[in-house]
Amino acid sequence: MAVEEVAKVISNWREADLDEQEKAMLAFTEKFTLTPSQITDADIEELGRAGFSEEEILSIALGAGYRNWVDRIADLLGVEEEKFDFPEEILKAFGVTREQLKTSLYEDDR
Amino acid sequence: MSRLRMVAGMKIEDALRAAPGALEADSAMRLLLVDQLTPRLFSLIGVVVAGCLRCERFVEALRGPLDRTFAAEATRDWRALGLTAAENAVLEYAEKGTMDEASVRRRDVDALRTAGLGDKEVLLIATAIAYHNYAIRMAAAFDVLPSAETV
Repeated sequence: MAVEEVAKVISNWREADLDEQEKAMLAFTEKFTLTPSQITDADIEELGRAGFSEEEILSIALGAGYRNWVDRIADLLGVEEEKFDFPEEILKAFGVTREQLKTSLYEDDR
Repeated sequence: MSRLRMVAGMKIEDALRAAPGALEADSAMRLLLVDQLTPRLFSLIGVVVAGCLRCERFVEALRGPLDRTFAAEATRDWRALGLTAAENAVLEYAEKGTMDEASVRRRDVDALRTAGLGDKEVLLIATAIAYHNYAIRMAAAFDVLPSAETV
């Protein structure tokens, strides 16, 4: 995926150039992350209608769960993000500057 | 019945068993955290994370060795329980790490250290908070119960 496309997905995946199956997956991932208690049978059925098998739905949830796990640890422990060489478009999508990333979270006690 | 036909049971283990390696990885992580943090602290973090995520229906499965009434109160308002300074610091960190994790700063970890916790404990606590955030979301997604095993 091109950097510009990744940036668009981060800032607004609904407007990104994704197919309907990918959008269904991201809608589920967003709800899984932000409001898991509101997930209903209809959300799983929607993934099935988008063409995902039950094995794939389980994998999508595990993938989203893994990201929720590992990104949270990074946030909680102040991982030094400057070790990741993010392209400018990605930084812009996240609303941060390269300068901010050069300082570790714990040194930058905003 | 879970939301997936391929998952026969009503527990998270039944769902994870369907993905190669997932159950083993989940169990190893959970049991390590229980062993290193104590069942009480692991469960206390779990019920508070469940409350933050509005998943109170999982508290009974998550409470482990905690008394039922105590666990329900911890989910609703852990600050009113008169816990130790260390437990209060851990739950403050768990709440922020669940509700607004991107805003966690050095001072939040310093509060844990001030309460007497060392680097190893901080690492384990952060991992436990993240673990419960993953496990409760998985249980909510498929309408199964999170693992109750804490020993």
